[in-house]
Amino acid sequence: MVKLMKKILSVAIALAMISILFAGCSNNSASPSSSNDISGTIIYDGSSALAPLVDAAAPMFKALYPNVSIPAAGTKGSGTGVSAALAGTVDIGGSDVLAASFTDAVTANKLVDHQICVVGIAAVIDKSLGITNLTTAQLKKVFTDKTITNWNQVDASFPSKQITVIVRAIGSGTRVVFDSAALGGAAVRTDSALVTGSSNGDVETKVNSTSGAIGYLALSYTVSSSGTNIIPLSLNGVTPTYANIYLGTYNVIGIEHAYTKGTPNAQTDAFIKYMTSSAFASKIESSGYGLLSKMK
Amino acid sequence: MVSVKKHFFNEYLGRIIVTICGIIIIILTIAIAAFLFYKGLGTFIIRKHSVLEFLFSSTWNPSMMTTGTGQIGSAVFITGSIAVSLIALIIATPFSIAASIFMSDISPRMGKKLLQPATEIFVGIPSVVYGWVGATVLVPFLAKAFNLPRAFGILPASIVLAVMIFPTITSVSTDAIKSVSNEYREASYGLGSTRWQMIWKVILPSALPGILTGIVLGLARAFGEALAVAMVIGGRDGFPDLKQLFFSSTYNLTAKITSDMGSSFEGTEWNDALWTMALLLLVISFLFIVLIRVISKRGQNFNENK
Repeated sequence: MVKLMKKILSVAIALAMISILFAGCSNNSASPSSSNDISGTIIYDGSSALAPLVDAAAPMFKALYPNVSIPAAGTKGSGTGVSAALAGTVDIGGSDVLAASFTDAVTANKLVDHQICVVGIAAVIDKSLGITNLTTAQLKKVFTDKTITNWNQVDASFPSKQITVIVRAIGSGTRVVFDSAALGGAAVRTDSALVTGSSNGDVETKVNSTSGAIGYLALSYTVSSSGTNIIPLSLNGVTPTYANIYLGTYNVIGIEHAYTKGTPNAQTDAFIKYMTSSAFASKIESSGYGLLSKMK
Repeated sequence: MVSVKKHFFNEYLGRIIVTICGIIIIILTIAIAAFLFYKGLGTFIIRKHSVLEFLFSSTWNPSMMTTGTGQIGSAVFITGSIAVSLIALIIATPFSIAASIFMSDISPRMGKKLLQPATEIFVGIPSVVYGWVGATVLVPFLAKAFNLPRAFGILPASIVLAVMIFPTITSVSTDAIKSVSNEYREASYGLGSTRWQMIWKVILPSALPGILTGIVLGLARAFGEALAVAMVIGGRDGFPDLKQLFFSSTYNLTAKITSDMGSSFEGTEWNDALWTMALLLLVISFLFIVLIRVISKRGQNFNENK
């Protein structure tokens, strides 16, 4: 009997503690403020280029809207982002490429496209080669012509070193942008000089550890690559910087799209508006992305 | 009343929980297999590709849109998987068997104190770490050692895999060698054999079924490993160059699935073909399980008949 009493007592205490815990929560949400009217979760998945920006925006947004929760952004890729947005399993599907490049127009039109920012893509190269600039024709040769195996075949002044071309997997948003904007849509070589990196970080690792390697990275990654063996290449004498992108002289760029299925719900709408607002603009630029509003 | 309750708790509660857990596991396995069959067979049933094309053609050019068709020949990836796993096995097996013999018959004390903990640590290291070390240390090292411009490909993948399957093969074959009856050991010493003769002619043959089970388990693990292989195999939709068979970039099944699943849009021929590859992996691992069953059954008969 005494044992039973003890059990009941302990259960009662536990229940009381839990209820206090929940009471604490509900008290918070009851405090009056206009930005507290919006609550709920915002789930992002898709483009791994846009994901870091979503993660950077989340704590800043939550400071304004304390009742909104934003889990860590998924990085499963643009294709997954668009299909997840269509399926309704995420609130925001991030993509580097237009949804219409995956599916027919009718299906793509179910999605609303919110353009967040612009991201530049730079060819990066093994620093020890001493190459700092390529022309579009040379770049195209290196990435598409399988008979070019040595750097001195590209230009007689270049050192004699085997070329290793490090690309992203077919379908990667970064690759789609690079192939069309830098290579003019020409088919990328498929001989054994080709190595695939699974992400921006992986390409960075592989270019860094392979002598004579060339690859490409989103500018949001090249800002962190100082001190490594790789340098971003100028294209036709134009350095890949946002200053040049804003001027329109460097044009290997992709637009980061946030797709929602139909009109977004209140919290997602507020979040997307925040990401494109002037309050977030400096964070976009310091993270290695560009502002659409500054594009000429 | 109390006694009935007590009886229920003592007798049935545990049993019910265990049964429910067991049933859930069975349902889960069947559900995963059914889902993979449903997704993977779409390539053949809905998109009308032939099984022969999938298995033996090396033309990989699937449509990336929900509309349109292309080629889904996966021979490159299948070959990659087979080559990488077999070479890994060739590298790992001698080390594993040697380590097992050392632990059971040559120096059990040192084996237990040093070798066994060391192999157990191998198991605990996450595969991404193996892959990362492979990509940043092993690949540049091989490139330098063989004076190559780049060394991504089958050999670094096999070496990384060999390290990963070493503990699996070692622990299973150690158990097998330890379970060989001591009478055999005493009998062969009694007949005047040396320690090596005893190991080579008595212990290894009688532990063979167990060792083979370990090897097949290792092979299954090698076949299914994705991340570590993906980081060092290079990644290219083509067979390795004939001139550089071991050091030219290619794909295996798991690396291809990992690399493409994020970018591929659901409902495209491309995405479906990746599911078909996943189904193939399931079928292969099922075959390995059957193989292990056959081997261990043979082993039982073998030991009973003696």
